[in-house]
Amino acid sequence: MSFDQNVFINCPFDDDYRPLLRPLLFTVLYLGLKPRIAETTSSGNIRIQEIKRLIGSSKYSIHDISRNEALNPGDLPRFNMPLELGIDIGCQEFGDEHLSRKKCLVLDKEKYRYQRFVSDIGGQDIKEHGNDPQKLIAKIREWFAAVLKQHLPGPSLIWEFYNEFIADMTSQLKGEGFKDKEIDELPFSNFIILAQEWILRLKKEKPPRKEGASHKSLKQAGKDTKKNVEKE
Amino acid sequence: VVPAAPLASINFLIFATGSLNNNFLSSIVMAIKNITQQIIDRVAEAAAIHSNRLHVLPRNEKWVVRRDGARRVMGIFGTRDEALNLARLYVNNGSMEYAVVHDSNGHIAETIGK
Repeated sequence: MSFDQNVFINCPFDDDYRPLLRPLLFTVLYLGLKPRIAETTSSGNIRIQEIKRLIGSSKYSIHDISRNEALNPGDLPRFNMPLELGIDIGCQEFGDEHLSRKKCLVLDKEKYRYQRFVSDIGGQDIKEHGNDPQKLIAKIREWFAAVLKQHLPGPSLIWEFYNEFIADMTSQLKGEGFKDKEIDELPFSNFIILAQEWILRLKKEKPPRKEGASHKSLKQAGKDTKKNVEKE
Repeated sequence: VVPAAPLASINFLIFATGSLNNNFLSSIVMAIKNITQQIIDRVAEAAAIHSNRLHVLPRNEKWVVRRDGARRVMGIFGTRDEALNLARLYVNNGSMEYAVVHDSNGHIAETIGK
């Protein structure tokens, strides 16, 4: 896969984060990029090697540190997300020359919350999503529009197509005999495949809307170009 | 019906690791992937169908009613009930087959007319 199109996704893969991760993955795919995830729960050594490989092969990264908190009183917070963010920043700083082109977006649920537990990331691009899928889509789209320097479809359009995809996916999987719970808990790797193919077909079949860029132009996403300036 | 768990691991292997060198494993992957591909194709095919389906969904603290694949929304409302009223009107008069009502996470909360 192309380094310039890969987006490493660092976030929880649990039920609590699912309402955010699905629209996150859909948005990345809709913008013509390829999300790279480490969903498996393999042994620590294998997992960290896989994460390093994914980080090293992705020009872009999205790190969501909103779940960096104790699940229950007395518990310690999970630190996998800040750890992987640190590896990514290190990769950008100390890796091969092409890795210095890496760009990462840090997401949190509240503005400036990160300052209470990982304040040294202050120089990174940090945006808050408020645990709201629509806001999350808007922030991701806004960030990619800036780093890709491209005119991208509006966040409302992406949100509407995301809802349409969910309806199509649910309807078709039910027709294949999937139960509601199985659809809800569909592994993210499966979700990515289904969403990717659905979006490809959508872009082939449906004409562009006035409020956003044409589907054809989205094929250019992932290729840095400075010709187009975002108009929104 | 393809069990979700095996599909998950197989698809993950294909996606996350790129390709497998082991011939035996590859043959298993391909056998299951072919079945999966049918499901993938059917879901993708749905993107090209402009059905008489409405979507009622929250958008920027309002509620919108939108026809499948339409360029513009049919209406923007301050409340969910107002949006549902328009959807019911179209479904009840037969101009639309059914409406899918989404919640703030994009989940399907209910369907009207199906």
